[in-house]
Amino acid sequence: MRAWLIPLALAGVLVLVVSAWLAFRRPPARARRAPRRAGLTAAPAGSGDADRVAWVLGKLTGAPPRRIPRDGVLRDVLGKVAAEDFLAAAGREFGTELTLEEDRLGMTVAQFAAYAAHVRRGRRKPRAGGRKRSPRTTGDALDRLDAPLLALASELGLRRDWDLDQARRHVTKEYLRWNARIHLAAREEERASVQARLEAIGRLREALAPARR
Amino acid sequence: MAHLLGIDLGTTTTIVARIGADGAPELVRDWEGEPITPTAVAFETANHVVVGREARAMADDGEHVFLEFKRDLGTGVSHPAFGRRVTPLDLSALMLRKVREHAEAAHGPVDLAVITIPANFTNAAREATLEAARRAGFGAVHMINEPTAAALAYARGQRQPLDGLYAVFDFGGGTFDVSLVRAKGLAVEVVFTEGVQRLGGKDFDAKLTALVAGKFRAATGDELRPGDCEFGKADAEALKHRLSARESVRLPLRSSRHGRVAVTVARAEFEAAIAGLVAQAEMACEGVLLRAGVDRSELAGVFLAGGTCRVPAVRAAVARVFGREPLLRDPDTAVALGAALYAAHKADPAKLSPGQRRQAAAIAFQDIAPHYYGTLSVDDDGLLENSVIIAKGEKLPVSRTRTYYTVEDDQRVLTCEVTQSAIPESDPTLVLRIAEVEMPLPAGRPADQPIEVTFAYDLNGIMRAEFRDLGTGKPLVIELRDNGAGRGSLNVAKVELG
Repeated sequence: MRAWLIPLALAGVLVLVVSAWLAFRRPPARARRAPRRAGLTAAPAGSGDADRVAWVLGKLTGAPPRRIPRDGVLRDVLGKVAAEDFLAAAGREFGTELTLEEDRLGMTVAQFAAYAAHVRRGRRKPRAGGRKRSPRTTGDALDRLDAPLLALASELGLRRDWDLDQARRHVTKEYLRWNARIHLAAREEERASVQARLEAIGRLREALAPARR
Repeated sequence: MAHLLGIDLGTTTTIVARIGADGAPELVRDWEGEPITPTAVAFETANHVVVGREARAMADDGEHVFLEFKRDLGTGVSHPAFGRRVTPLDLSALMLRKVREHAEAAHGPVDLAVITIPANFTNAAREATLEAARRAGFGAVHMINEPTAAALAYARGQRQPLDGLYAVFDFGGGTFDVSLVRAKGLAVEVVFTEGVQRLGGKDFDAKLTALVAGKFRAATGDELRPGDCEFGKADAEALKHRLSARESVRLPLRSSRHGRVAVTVARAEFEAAIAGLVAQAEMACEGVLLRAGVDRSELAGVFLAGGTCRVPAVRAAVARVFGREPLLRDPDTAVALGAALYAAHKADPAKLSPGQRRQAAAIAFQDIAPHYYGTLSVDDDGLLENSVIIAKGEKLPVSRTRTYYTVEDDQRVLTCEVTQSAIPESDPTLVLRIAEVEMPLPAGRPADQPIEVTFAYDLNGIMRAEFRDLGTGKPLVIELRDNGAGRGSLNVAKVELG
C-alpha cells in the first residue's frame, strides 16, 4: 500500500466522525427550550381550566393538547420539561404566579388546574380592609391558604362551593386513607413522605376550622 | 401468688405495674425509687450499658445515647455504637431486661408480663416488641393495645361502676391512639380503634424548639445552635410543661456570642404551632366515630391517658370532638395499671392468690378484629381488586363466607391470597398481602366454577382462611397465627391442601 493513502484514510474517518457528531448531538437544554417558551400562545378563548393546563403542557411537550390525559400524573406528563418552565408558562396562562413543591408534582393535570384556579381566584379577590372575617365557605378558607397547602387542597379535591363541614369531613377521610398507608411503607423515605403528608393534611384541616375564641 | 407485670414501654417513659396479693394493681418503683423511668439507653463503653434516668441525663452531650427508639421498632433503622450497630429491638430488649431484673430482685421470677403497644403498631413493630421481650428474658409474654389497657384501669378506678360506651384518648410521647369501648364494670368490650403511628409529645417539643429558635433568630439575627446557646430536648419538654400551667413563659437563654437573650413564649403561640398536630388527633377521633357508626351523643364518658393530654389545647380538642369534658386521672400510669390487670386476666388461675383470682374473675374482655382482612379477586371489568371478608371491629370469634368464581375456561390454578388493611381498601396496591398460596384446579372445566372462601378469626389469635372448590369439594386451608405479638400481627403457620 502506498504511504500517501494512510493520511488520506485518516482524514476521511475524521470527516465522518465530525459529520456524525454534528448530525446526532443534542442541542444544549436552554437553547432547545427557549424558543418554545417564548413562542407559547394562549389557550383558545372559552377553554376550561383543565383544557388550559393541557394546552400549556401540549405546547411544552409537543403533544396535542387533547391527548394530554386530565387524570395523568403531572410529573409523568411533564417528562423532560422542567417544572419551573411549566409553572412559569401556566402562571402566564392563568395570569398569576404559580409555585409548587417537588412532592406535589404527583398531582394530576386536573388537580393542578383546580390549584391554578384557586390561586388565581385568591389573588383577585379584594381583601376586606380592617378586621378579619371568619371563613364561611371552603372558598373563603382556600383564599387564605399559602401555596403548598392550596396545592394539597386541590390534590385532595376540595371544592370552593362546599361548606366548611363538608370540606372537613372530606379532609378527615383523606387523612384516614393516608394514615393507613404508613403500614405499607417499607423504607424510611416512604414513611417520612407519608408522615409529611399527614402533617400537611393536619395543617390543612386546621385551616378549615371555624374561628375559636 | 403469681408475679404478674404490666409494662408500658413508652416512647419517652417506661412504667411498670404489678398485681398485688389482694388483686389490686400497683406501680413498681424503679431502681432509683421512682414510678416513672425515662425510656433511654446509653452505651458508656462497648460492654457497659446504662438505662433510664442516668442515660437520659447523658442525652444532650452523650454520643451513644438512644431515646425515642420505640418509634423505629420494626423498621430497618440502626445506629452505630462502639463499632457495631444497634437496632431499636436491641435497645428495647436492654430496657426490658433492666425492668425484669429489677422486678425479679424485688418480687421473684416473673410468671407473666403484659407489654402494651400502640393500637396502630405495624406487624413488624409488634413482632419486634415481642422479640425484645423474649431477649430480655421474659418467659410468658402477652401484648395489649395501650388504649384498651387504659380503659381497664379507668374501669377499675371509678367509684361508680362503668356502664355504657366510652372513648379512650391515649396521647403519649410518641404515638396516639383512640378507642371506643363498651364497659360494664370490669367487663370491657373494644368497639373500634384508630391510631397515628408517629404523633406524640415529642412532636410538640420539636414545634416548640422551632418556635424558640425563631424567636432567638429574631432577637439576635443568629441561628440557635448547640455550642452557642443550649436548648435541648429536655428544655423543650420543661417549657411545654410550664406552658401547660401558664399563659406565657419568659425564657432566659444564654448565648456565648450574644450573652443573655430573653425570649417570651406565649401559650397561644405554642398552640398555633401545634394546631396541625392536634388536628391530626381530632381527625383520628372523628374517624373512630365514623367507622364504628357511633354518634358522639351516645358516649357515656371520655377518658384521657398519656402525658400529652396535660396540654390544655389537647384537652380542649377532645372536648370539642367528643362534645363533653374528658376525665383526666393518672394519665401517665393508667396504661401500665391496665396492663397489669390484663396480666391477671390472662394468667393461669391455678397460680393466682385468692385475691388475684377474685380480681381476674371480675375481668371480662371482648376483643375485635384489628384490621380488615380480605382476598384479591377480579372485578367485572377484569381488574384486580381487594375484597374485604372480615371487617375491622367485628367481634371475635368471627367467621365470614363469600363465594367467588373462576374466571377462565380450563383454569388450572387459583391464587389464594389473604390481605390486610387498616381501612376498607379496594385498591390491591394499598393492602398488605400476608399470605399467597396457589391451589391447583382440575382441568377441562368451564369458567364460573364457584369457590367458597371462609375466613374465621378465633379468640386465640388464629385465623383460618379456607378456599373451597365447590365442584370437587376440596379445600385449601391457610392458617395464620399472631404468635403472641398481639392482635393484628398474623403470620402463615400452616397450609393444608385437602
